[in-house]
Amino acid sequence: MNNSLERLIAGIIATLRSDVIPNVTDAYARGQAIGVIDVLNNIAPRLEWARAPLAEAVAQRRNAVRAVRALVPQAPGGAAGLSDQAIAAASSAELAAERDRLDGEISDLIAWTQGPAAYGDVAAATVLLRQHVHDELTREMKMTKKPLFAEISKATAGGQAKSQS
Amino acid sequence: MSAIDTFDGDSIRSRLLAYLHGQVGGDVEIGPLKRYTVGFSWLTFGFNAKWNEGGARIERDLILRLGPPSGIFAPYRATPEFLTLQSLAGSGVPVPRAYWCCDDSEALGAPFFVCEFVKGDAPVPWTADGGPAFDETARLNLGDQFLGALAALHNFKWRSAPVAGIGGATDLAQTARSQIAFWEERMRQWSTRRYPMLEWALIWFRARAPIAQRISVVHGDYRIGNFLELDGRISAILDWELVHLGDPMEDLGWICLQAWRGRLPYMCHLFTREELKSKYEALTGTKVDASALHYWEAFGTFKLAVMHLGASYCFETRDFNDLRMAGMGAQLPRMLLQLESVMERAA
Repeated sequence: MNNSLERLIAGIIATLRSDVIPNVTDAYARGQAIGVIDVLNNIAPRLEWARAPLAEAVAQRRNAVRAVRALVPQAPGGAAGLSDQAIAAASSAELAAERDRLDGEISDLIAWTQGPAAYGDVAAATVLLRQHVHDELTREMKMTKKPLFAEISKATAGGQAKSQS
Repeated sequence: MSAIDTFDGDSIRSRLLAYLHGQVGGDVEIGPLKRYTVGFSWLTFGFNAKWNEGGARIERDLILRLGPPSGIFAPYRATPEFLTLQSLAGSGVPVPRAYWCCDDSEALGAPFFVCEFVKGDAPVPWTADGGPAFDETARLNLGDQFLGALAALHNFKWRSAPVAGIGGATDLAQTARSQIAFWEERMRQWSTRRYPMLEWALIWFRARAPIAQRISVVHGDYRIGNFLELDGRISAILDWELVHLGDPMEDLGWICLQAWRGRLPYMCHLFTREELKSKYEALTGTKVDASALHYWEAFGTFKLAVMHLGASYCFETRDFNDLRMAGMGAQLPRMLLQLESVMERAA
């Protein structure tokens, strides 16, 4: 997910309050929608992104960086990351920050290996970087559900002609 | 005046009434504003207006398009789209008639333009079962009209028309670089997180930037979902907010995106890639370079991925509570895998 958990929950509650509940005419359904807000309000302070996928994302990136740097040790170094001990104790938010830092480092390695100053086993490093990027996206896709665009479009149109929208 | 409350139709209506009074120089009446909820970017309202012109009472169904400060491409300018619609009136490109335009936020609290309401339905690329959006007859019929309008747009003599002022690249060697710079800036604005696939793509695009054969008016979002169809006829081409001067191949590449066809062989559900190429060449007299087409398809996929970042950013930071935006952001891995795939095919 690209948005923060806090913002997603706030957005869901705001949408229910402003756009959904005022248009729900069935009393039971309206009560249930308000019940959803009540539950969300109470679970929000107790939630964070699942730790295991974030820890795995960090581990895969660290492995890739280590392997690439072994092939092109001359590549400029990245900013210091979390130690093994710090990662073991890190919260989800800290792991997400470390994942993002590693993505920045991998981006820098891609730029360096594709640039004119690159030397060492650049071809092997390029293959490894490409494989890593592909594997990580594939792993992310396993958690990404098919979008409901068809259903959303049908519901939004509601039989009315779209015009200049 | 304050910035608009995007959901306060009454306030927008009273300010619009005052603006139109000044424009038509006299008595004007407008009906209630009806908000259309399908767009992600501009706010769209329909309304009826009556005013005097040349001694006669005019009545029109109109559309108000507002670029809200919270919108994905804010801050907006209404002029490029307005000048384009004005210039293309009476050409082979079906467009709504443009009436008024204002980039100053004083009048309504946000840039806006007013144009004709055009009847029709907008077919969308997403079907429940992933199957075709059209039967064979409709596919061929609409496909020919869709390409006919595109050819008319790309062959339009823009240098002597108001649309010459909309901006973009007019140097044949800079069309791709100009678009790369534009979308990289959006990417950096919308995401502090760096995505290795997007960074790789930028290097790839810079290394392979094609030289355009000619400069045309480029729609920038020409696809299924952005035209209206009424009784088998395309009644209007819509959503010109990304219009610019540049390489017409950019529109052709965008048409080929997987996002507009899923696993079907028909680009935008309308024609095969070969049909697109041969029919476009016949209509425009311009050769379609296969490698340039692949390049712009890859670039379009990158651009769409960046738009997904924009949707997430808007939802996260601008109190834009449309959950479809957050849903778009969740699809970024899918977009990035499509980008990888189309870059590999184009290499």
